[in-house]
Amino acid sequence: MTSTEQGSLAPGLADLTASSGAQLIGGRCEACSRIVFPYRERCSECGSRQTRSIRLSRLGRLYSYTVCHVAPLGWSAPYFQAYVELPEGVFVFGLISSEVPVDFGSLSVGMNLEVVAEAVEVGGRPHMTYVFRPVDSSEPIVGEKCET
Amino acid sequence: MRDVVIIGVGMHSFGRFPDKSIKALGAFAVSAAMDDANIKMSDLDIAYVGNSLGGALSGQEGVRGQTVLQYCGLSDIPIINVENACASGSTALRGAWLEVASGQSEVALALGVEKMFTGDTPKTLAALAGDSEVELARMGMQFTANYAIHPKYNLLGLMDKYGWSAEDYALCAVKNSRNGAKNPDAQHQRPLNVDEILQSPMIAYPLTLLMCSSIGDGAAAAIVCSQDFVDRVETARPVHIRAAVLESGHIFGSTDHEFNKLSRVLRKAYEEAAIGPEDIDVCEVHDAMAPVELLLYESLGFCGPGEGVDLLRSGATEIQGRHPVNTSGGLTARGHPVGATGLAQVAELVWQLRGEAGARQVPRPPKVALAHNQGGLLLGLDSAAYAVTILST
Repeated sequence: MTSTEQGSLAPGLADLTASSGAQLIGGRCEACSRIVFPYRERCSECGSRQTRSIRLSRLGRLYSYTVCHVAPLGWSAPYFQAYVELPEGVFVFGLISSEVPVDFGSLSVGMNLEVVAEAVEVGGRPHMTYVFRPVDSSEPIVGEKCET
Repeated sequence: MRDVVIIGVGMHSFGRFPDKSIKALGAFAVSAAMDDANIKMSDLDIAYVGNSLGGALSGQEGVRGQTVLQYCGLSDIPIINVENACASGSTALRGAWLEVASGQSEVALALGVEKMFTGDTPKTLAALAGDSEVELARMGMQFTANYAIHPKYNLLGLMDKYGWSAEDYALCAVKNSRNGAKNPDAQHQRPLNVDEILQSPMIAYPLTLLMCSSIGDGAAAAIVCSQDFVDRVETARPVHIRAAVLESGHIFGSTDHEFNKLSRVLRKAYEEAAIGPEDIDVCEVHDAMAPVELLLYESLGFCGPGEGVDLLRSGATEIQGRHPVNTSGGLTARGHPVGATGLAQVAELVWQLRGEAGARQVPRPPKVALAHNQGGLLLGLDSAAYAVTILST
C-alpha cells in the first residue's frame, strides 16, 4: 500500500494522488459559471443540473490563520488552522503543512500557498489529507484555467 | 396566520447536574412552564422537543422527546423531535408557533433539553464536533478557532482591520459574566475581570477559555397558544410572538462577496414584525464565543461597521443601556447546553417583558425583545441554522 492509498481525511474533497500534487475538487455550473467548493450536484445560484466537478487552482492566498492550542480527540496541539482564498473566488478550510513551525510568525495573511498532500497523525496513525504550504513566489496569484 | 402568544415559560438552571438525567432536566422545565402558564396537561395539543447531542451521548438515538415527556407524564399527543444543532431550541419553538399560527393546534409545548456532562468529556466534545458537517471535524477543524478565522467572523483579522484588541474581546466576556452573576439560573455566576480572562488558557488566539461558552446541562420550555385560548386563562400574562424566522446557511461560492448571512435573516425578522433595530428594548444573542457579540451589534443594526467596541465601551449594551444585550449572561455565562439554549433565551426575554427578571431587569420597561440563536457549520462555509425570534408585550 502506498502512502496515498491510506485512508484519506478528505474523501471527495481533494485528489491526493494528482501527479502535480494534491488538487481540491470543486464544482462549476455550466449555466451560470458559478464555482463552489466542494462540488454539488446542482447549482445553488441558478438551480441548473449542469454542474461538473473541476480541479481548483493549486495556489491560493492565505486569508486567515490561527494556532489551535486545544485539539480534537486524536489530534495533537498546537497546530495551525487556516482559510485560504483561491483565485476562483472560493474559500477553503485547511491545515498548514507540518514543515512549517507552529509559530504565529511562520505565516502571514496574504501570502501565497500551494495545496499539497500530506500525512497527518490522528489517533497515533498517519492519514492522508490536503494541507497548504507556503510558496516562495510573492507574485499575485491569478486565476488558473480550471480543467476537469 | 393568526396571532400566537407565549403563555408560560420555565427553565431548569444551566450547570453541572451529575444526579439529574436528561428526563429529569426536561420534566422540570416542562412543569415549570405549565405552572407558569397555569394550564393542565390535557390542554396541550402537541409538543416539539429540541435536543442535539442526546443520541450520541446516551445511545437514545431516536424518540428522545417521547422518552423525556413521558417521564413527566405526558403521553398520547403528537411529539415532534427536533434536531438543529445549537439552534434546536428555537427550531422547536418555531414548530410550536407554526402549529398555533396555522390553526392546527390551540396550545403547543416547545422544550429544549441537553445533558452534556456525562463523565466523559472527550466523548461530549466528539459529539459536539458532529454538530457541524463531519468532514470538517475529520480534517481537524476546531470550532472555537473557527470564530477567530472564519471569513464571516474573522475576529483575529478584525484586530488589524478595526484596531480591536484582546482586551476589547475580554470586555465582552466581562459584561456577560456580570449579567450572569445576577442570574440564579446561570451556569457561571462569578463576575470576571479582564486580566483573568486574558490569562485563562489560550484555546485559539485570540480566544481564551473564559471567552468561550462551556459544556453544560439544562432545559427550558415555552408554552404557546392562540389568543382565543389565552382569553380563557384569567391569570395569563401573554407575550406575543411577532416573528419566528428560521433559515439554513448559504452555500458560498465565486459570486458571493460578503458572508454576513445573519444580517439578511435579521432583516427578514424585522420586516415580519414590522419593526426596526431602534425598537428592540432587550435582546439575547448567540455569543458562543463572547467577542462575536461585537459583530452581532452590527448585524442587529445597533451600530455601523467597526463600531461594536465603541458601543460596548459606551455601556449601551449593559442592562441599564440603550440596547441591553444578553441580560441573562448569554451563552458564555448563563451557559450553552446546546439544544436548550434557544428556549432559555426566549424564557429570559419573556421574564424581561413581564418585568420579572429580578436583579437583571432592564429598568425602562421593555416592550419588544429579540432572540438570535444559531447552530452548526457546513462545508459550504456557512452556519447550518439561523433562528431569530421577536417578541412583544
